[in-house]
Amino acid sequence: MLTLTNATKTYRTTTVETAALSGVHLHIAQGDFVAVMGPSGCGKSTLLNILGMLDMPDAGSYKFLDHELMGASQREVAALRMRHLGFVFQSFNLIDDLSVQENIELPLLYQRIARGERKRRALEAMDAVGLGHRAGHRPSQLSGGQQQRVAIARAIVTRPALILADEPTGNLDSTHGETVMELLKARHAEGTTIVMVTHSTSDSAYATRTVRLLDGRILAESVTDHSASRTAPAEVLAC
Amino acid sequence: MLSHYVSFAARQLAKSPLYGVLSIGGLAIGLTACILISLFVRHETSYDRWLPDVDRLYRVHTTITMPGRPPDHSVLSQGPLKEAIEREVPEVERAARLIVQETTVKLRGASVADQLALVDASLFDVLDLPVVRGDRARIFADPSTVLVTESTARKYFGDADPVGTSLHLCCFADHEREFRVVGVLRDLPDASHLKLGIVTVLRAGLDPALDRGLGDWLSVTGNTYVKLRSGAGADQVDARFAALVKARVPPINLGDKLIDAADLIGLRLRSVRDLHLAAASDAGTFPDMKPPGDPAAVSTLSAVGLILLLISITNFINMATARSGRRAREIAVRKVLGASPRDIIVQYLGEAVLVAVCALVIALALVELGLPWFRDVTQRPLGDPFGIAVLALLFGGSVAIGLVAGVYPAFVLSRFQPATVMKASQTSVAGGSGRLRKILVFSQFAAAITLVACTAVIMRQAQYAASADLGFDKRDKLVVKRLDDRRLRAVRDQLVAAVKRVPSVTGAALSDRVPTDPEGSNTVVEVPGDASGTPMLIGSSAVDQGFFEAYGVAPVAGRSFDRAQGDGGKAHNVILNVAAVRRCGFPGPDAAVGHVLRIHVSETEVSESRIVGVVPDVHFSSARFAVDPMIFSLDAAPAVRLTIGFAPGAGPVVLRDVQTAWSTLIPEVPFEADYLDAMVDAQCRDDRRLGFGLAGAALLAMIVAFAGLYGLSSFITESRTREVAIRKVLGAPDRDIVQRLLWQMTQPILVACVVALPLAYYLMQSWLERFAYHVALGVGVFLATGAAGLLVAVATVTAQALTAARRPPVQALRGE
Repeated sequence: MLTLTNATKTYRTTTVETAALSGVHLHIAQGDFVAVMGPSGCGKSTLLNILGMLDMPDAGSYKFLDHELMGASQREVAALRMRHLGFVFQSFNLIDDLSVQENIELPLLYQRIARGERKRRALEAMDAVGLGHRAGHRPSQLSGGQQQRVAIARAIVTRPALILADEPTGNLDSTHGETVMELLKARHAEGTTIVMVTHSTSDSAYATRTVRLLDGRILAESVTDHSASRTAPAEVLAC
Repeated sequence: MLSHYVSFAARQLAKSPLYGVLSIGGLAIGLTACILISLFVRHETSYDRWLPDVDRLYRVHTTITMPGRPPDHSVLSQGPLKEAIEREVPEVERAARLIVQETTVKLRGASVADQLALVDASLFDVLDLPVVRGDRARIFADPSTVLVTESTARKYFGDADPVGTSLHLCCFADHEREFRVVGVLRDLPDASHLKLGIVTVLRAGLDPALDRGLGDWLSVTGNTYVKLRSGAGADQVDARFAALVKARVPPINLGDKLIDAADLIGLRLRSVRDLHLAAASDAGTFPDMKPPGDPAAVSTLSAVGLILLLISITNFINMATARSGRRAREIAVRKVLGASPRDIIVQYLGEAVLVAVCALVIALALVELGLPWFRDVTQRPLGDPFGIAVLALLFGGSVAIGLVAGVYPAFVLSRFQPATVMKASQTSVAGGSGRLRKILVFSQFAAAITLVACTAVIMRQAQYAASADLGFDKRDKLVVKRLDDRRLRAVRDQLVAAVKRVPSVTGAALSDRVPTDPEGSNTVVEVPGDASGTPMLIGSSAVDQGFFEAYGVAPVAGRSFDRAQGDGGKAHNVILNVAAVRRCGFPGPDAAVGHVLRIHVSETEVSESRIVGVVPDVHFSSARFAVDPMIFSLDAAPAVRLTIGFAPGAGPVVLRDVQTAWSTLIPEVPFEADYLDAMVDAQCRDDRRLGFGLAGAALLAMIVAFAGLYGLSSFITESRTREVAIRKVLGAPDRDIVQRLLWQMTQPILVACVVALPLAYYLMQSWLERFAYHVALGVGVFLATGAAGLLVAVATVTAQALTAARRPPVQALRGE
């Protein structure tokens, strides 16, 4: 689905240069569920932003569904992002002034999908996350777990090929966190590729692969064998 | 998509009422002022545009330049001019005279003062005035017929058809004449320099005095209008005037010197389109049919309206960009979810347009409420502001304002990088450039402070002019007019005697002019022994005994008039004012008393007149003008005014008793009188109106600017909540935090004062040059304006700074 080759990203101020990513190679296939882990400042969010086309590497190559994104126009990148990607954030990033249903409809609005179809798909997505009865509520009227479920509904409503989740349970208690992870697992089971940044080993256990970052480099990758046990320890592979 | 944007924008406004009120309210105030001022400007610049072929219509204005005197302008011209133009100026297609005379309409036993327009048969070929009933041409066939305008018809005949009925007009050579109404002219629009009520044909034999005027090249008698041939230019006609005057008018004898008439009499065409404003300065000795407009007021108010609108738009941009920081995350989410920069721009511009249209709706309501007041202030009827075309224009204008105001924040927001915004804390995202915001606040306050400082000076000047020492006591005086009516001559002495018998009357004096009257006649004067030997022209006035006493004017040298000492009659004793003493070359008032002047009473008669006294320079005109040299003689014959002094508080009773005495003696002449202080105050009315208009605008400008500052400071304090919390955690006292915030927020205002106050000083220095006497332009008023602006600014932001400083830091840091 996507291949990142020798990607580097450096943040510069007038006096300091910080290498967020240094020569990262990463291939993600259709149907993968990848957990990205590592200490704070290791480059996880930068990697996720690049994979989500919110940012671009300074050098290297990024191929997404056979499209080389290095040098592509903003418009082309925005179109790919809109068609194929869904996002889930740690802080939910719902728009307070829109109702639950309107928040979920928002990506469809920008895809110029007709009102009736928007509504139908939004209701479908709400049902999928168990929030069909909360359509008219505002995000501020929901619990954190419910808000994250709305965010997941918003991410899946466009039926994206890839969902990028940035610490989706970071602001939730364990019960709500587990619900959210079960929802992501369900999407994965339906064939959606998922890349998730997380600090949580229990969350990473839902993934089929785990990528560990340190100082902007991939330190290790492991594959989880879910056929044995969901909680089986990950096998650490040499980088 | 559109409904999403509209409902979202409405929710945004509902969510931030402060933003909604300040943005919409500020813009509504700016639009209201702008609409009202536009109505005034539209009215003032639309005068006479309704006349067919107005681009070819002109009126001849006259300038008489006597040696040693400033040019004397008049909108009128000489009686014989029309015939001369028709013969000798080929560029003129038609010419016509229109002479307005005072008349008395006698109807059902009542006498009503009115005006009669005497016009040439060619008038309607030049000024095509529409008729609604009857036949306008019949007045030229039958001299005993008149046309009346619709309102005059209503005034005298109610709703009945006036055609065929009669009006008795008085007086022509002491006779009352009957005129038959043969047609009704449509009422002229208010935006016209013309003021017509009753119209008849101008012909010889109606009145000997008028006949003399019609043949006299040395006096201006009436309006002369011309219609130029297509393609002809006014310059071509103006170029012919000097030769025309030289050919028609013999040289003029001024103190034994013959002067070429063309050197004294200047004629020029003024476009009928320009009569109300551009040619207003030509109105000199004889007023036009209506008071002219004030071009300075039009240009000043236009500038002020524009400034107010710009302040409001600036306010709106400022608020919107400041608020954009708050909305950064929303915009980032939208972009992540697929919104293109174009979507964001369309959304934000749409919101700005929505705000502008809301502001327009409120502004229209405010205009509806404020229009009666504004009509009263401007003394103009002003047009209907809510015609379809005007509304369409206003709607289009509001949309344009919304687009202009929204374009900057829209582009700022559309450029937010979602990755950056998502990473940042909500309150630390910069909403546009801080420098730009400072520049906008600076511009707003610079304009508002300039406006306030200028208004303060204009108001002070208006107050000064109203209360200036004019050299006479204007209180407790009644001025009776219309004494020039021939029918009154026979009973004038009886009238004066009757007035003096009225209880509370302290004195009564006749004169040919009173303060506020236009400039009167001039006299050629020679000063024996004057080395130059050149006769000079000095303004003259004939007054009766007791005139100076009635006005409380005491001589500074010599004495006042006294018939017992031989003044009046054969002894042509005169009194000079101080300016005339200087003009005649005497070293001082005392030195002038006793000298003899040679005064040219007529072209052939010279009188030896002894100076018996010198009076101070009394402002017979407005304090705007310098006092001209004046020579007073004791002669009641040419009197047209009667000044009556009365005991304080007795005005209404004296007015009633004087009117009774007048009606008893001469009921057929309408009584007309005014209090002198009201007449003098009326002179300052225009400046006062301008002052009020500006004061209103300045107040609005300050309200908008301070409201904007309030809103802006609330956003700034909000955006610095985290920084304030960190400072507090590190031990900063509240005072330090308040000082920091105050300094940041009031800096642009301080700079605005530094720029605006010298600018206002310069502008007002130029403006005051219009007045011969004006307030001293000290720096006090400017410093006070600046200090007041700063004080209010500090007060506006202090509350917010204090709230920010006192907020427990844990609230702000919890979100980290």
